[in-house]
Amino acid sequence: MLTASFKKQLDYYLLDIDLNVDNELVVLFGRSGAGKTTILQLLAGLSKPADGWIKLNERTLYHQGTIHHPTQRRNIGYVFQDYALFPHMTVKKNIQYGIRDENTAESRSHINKLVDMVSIGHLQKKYPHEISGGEKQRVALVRALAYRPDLLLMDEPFSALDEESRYQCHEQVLQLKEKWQIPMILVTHNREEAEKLADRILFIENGKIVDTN
Amino acid sequence: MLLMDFSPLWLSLKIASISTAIVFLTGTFLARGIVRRQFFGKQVLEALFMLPLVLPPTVVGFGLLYLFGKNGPLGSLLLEWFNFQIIFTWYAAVIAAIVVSFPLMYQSASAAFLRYDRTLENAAYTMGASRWKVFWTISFPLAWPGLLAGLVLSFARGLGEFGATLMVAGYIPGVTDTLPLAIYFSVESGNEQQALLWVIIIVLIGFTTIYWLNNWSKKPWLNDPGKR
Repeated sequence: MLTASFKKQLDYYLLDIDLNVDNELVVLFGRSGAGKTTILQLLAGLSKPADGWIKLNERTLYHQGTIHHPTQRRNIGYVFQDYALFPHMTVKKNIQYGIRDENTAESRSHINKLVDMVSIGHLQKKYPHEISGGEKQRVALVRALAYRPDLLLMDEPFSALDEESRYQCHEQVLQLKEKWQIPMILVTHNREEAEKLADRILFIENGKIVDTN
Repeated sequence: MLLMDFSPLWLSLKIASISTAIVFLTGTFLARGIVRRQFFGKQVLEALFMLPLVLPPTVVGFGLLYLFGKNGPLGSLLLEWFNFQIIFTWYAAVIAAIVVSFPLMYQSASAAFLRYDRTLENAAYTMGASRWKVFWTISFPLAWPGLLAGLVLSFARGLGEFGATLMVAGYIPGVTDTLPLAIYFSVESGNEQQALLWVIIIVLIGFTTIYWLNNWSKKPWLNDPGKR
C-alpha cells in the first residue's frame, strides 16, 4: 500500500498531493503540464519534495525533508514515457539489469513467466533499436516488474503506440494487474485509456487532485 | 639508418601514453562530475580547464617552470619531501603533455556525457543500481565513442608537444629528446636527413590517427549507441 502527502513548488503552481493507493491501478489523468510526471518522479525519488511524507508498505521513503530511502532502495518499478531501454544492451540484459541474482532458478522462472505473459521470448537477443514500439513497451514493462517491485509507476507508456499495439498493451496491463497484486499508478492524458484501465481515476490540474472517479 | 638511435620515438610514445592515461582518467571523471551540475564558479572552472588550448605553449611552459622550479610552490615541496627535482627530466615532459592535452579530453568527455538521454541513468537508479554501477554499465559505455575520440586526440597532442616541453624538460639527448625536439635540433645541427625521418614518422602517426578517427566517427551505429 502506498500512502503519500507531499508538496513541491513548481514553476507556475504549487504541487500539493495526497495519495492512497491500495493493490489497484490508479490513473493520474490530466493535461500536459498538470504535474502528473512530477508526481511519479517524487514517488520514485528522482526528485525531492519540499515537504510531506511518502510511505510504501510500512517503509517510510521520505519524511519532511529527509530521504530515508533513495531511489536505488525504494524497490519501485518505473516504465518511462519513452521506455528508456538501454540501447547498448540486448532485451535480455535490459530485463536482467535490476535483478540481484539472475542465475537462481527462482529468478529465471519468474522472468520466464513474465516474458511468456507478454510474449517477448523471441526478442531476447535483440537490441532495442531492432524492435517495434509495442515490443519496446512490453520489454519496459517486464523490466520494471522483473525485480518484484512494491509499486509500479507507468508514465504515458502507450502514447507512442499505434491503435492496435495500444489495444494489445492495454490487455496485457489488465492481465498483469490481475496477477500482480501491488499498487500501480499510470499517467495518461487519454480519457478512453484511463477509463478502460483504471480502478480509480484521479483528475490532476495545476498540481492538485481536483476530482476522483 | 640501422644505426639510428630510435630513443626519441620510444620516449615520445612513453610520454604520450602516460600522459594520455592520466588525462583520460581525470578528464573523464571531472567531465562526468561537472558537466550536468550547476554550481557557482562552474564557468570559471571550465574556462581554466580549456585555457591551455588557446595559450601559446611557451606560456604553459613558463607557468609550469614557475610551479615546478626549485623555488616554485610545487617544485620546492617535491625537493623537500622527496629530494627530487622534476624540471629537466622526462617527468616534466609528461606534465607538459598532460596540461596541453587535458582540454581536448575534457571537451570530448563533456560532449560525450551530454550525448545520451539522462533518463537512462534514472531508469538504472530505479532498478536499484548504485552510482558506481550506473557509471560503469550505463554512462561509460554510452559515452565511450566520445571518450575514445578524446583519448586519441590527447595522445596525438601529447606526442606532438614541443614548446612547453622544451621549456620544462629541455633538450637532453637520451633523456628528454622527444620527437618534436629531436626534429628541431636535428635541423638546427644540419642533420636534415634524420629530421626528415622523424617528420615522416610523426606525420604517419598523426595521419593514421585522424584518418582512423574520421572513418570511425562515420560509423552509423555511433548515432545510436545500441546499433552494434
